[in-house]
Amino acid sequence: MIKLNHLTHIFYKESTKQEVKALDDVSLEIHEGEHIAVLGHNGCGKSTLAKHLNALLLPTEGTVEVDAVDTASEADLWTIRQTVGMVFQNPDNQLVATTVEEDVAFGPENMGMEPSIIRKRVDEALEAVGMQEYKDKGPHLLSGGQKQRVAIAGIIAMRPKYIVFDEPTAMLDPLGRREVMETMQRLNKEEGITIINITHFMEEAVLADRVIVMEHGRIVLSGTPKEVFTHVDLLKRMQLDVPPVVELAALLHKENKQIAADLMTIEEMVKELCP
Amino acid sequence: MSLEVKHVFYTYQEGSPTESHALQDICLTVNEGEFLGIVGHTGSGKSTLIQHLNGLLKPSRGDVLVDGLNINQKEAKGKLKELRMKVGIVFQYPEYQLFEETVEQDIAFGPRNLGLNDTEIRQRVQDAMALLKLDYASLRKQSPFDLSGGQKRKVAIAGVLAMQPKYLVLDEPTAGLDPKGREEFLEEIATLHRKGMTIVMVSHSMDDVARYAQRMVVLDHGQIRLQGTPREVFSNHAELEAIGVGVPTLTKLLLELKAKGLNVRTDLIELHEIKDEILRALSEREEMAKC
Repeated sequence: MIKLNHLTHIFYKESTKQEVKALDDVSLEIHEGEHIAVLGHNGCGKSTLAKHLNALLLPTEGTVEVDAVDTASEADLWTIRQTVGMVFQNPDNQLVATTVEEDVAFGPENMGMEPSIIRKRVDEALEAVGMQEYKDKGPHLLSGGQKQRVAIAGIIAMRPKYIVFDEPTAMLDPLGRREVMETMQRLNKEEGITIINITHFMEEAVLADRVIVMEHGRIVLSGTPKEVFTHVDLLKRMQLDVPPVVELAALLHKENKQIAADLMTIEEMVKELCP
Repeated sequence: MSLEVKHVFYTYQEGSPTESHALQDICLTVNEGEFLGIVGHTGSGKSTLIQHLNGLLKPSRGDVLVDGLNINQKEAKGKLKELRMKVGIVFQYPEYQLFEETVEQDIAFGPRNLGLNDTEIRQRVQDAMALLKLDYASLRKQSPFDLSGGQKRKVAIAGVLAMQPKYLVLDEPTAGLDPKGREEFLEEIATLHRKGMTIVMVSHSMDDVARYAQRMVVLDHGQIRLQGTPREVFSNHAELEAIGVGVPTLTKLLLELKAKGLNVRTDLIELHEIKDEILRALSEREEMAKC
């Protein structure tokens, strides 16, 4: 379990010479096996939150514990970073080697593993993201979605229990986005890896077990996707992107109470209207 | 006056074993004052096509005419600069092209290269910033690199607008922006269009094109497969699905409802008209059931 205890983080902003409270007294428990989506627009604190989960940032006040280890404990830094892997937005910034398999091997090599174990881990990781056939290719020849899957394989090869995705699909085209989302789903369902997906896209949040909405460094909504998406007006006021079906369901419900208000997908809507 | 693309072919690395036909027999007219959407997969030729619109690429075969001037012919040679002022292209992630120390200098770079005097340059910078609702007084001295992602992108586009183009071509202008930024941005572009600028927008989002474009073309493997108003194009859902670009979310919903026997029109695009249509069809079904 990852446990955030009254976490506050204050930045000093050089350009305005002011202190900014990026996170304001956030408490949260992330359980093993969960798939959580964290929503909110730029500046709401969601990336700052993500960076606390593997000690890239440390709390100004409060604590973060990863499997009961305080992230402020420098002696445990390596263990924490191996337990909680992180995938970032821009795939081009995360790939370092000249071939796909070397790239995936980078992490395990740095951990000083046996070559035979590295080989096994690399193969397994590439298989988990469906990229084995590209193992000898140069990463620069891949599409955005494929690059992002290689970046994910690099993380999986370290065998983390938790993976934090910080807007992994923001720079991808629709096909790449689908590839990454399917990979994320599979890692959660089949490999049992806990997923924390920081995202702008409600379509991705729909897939999570639990959705957390942030604004001004605080958690303002939390619940299953269905619970969260019934607050259409609040989400719109926060200028979050409400999926068209959710918005339509709310409008239909307003005029005809027999139609459920908590429909999230085309399939659900069709089933509701044409049972 | 218009941009005309006539039977254009473009081949990358012609004659080599890796040659690829990026564009094949493209015919397209962009009329002055319209908002045209271009959609298609990654690799369908969208970016190659727009680079032809101001002569960054020359067709392997065929002609491109900008307000009647053929960019391929000798007479255009000395006029490329003029032509590029007419057709401003904003590439994907234009903020990567920012380089100056201040916002003002960055936007002024183009006009300065035109040899305008300082007063004219300042006027152009102010006008361009005003068009995108960027505050001149507070931003001019700031480093563009200290701005937020959305603002950086606006500054980069202001640099193109400062050249006062007649045609503005945008390649995936909202990629990577958050929903709030995306919405604001599309509204700014719609405003530019209302003020008379011709807009060509490349997009992956069928929902965005459905909302903003007056006319659209669908590219697939370097060819135009469909063109017309969004309503016309989206009525060819089977073909769009086959190409793999899909249709807007709510169009898909209407199609599936119809397939299940609910008598709805499927050529609607706006949220409220779709809501009304579904309610109408539901009450119609109830009436029928009573009979």
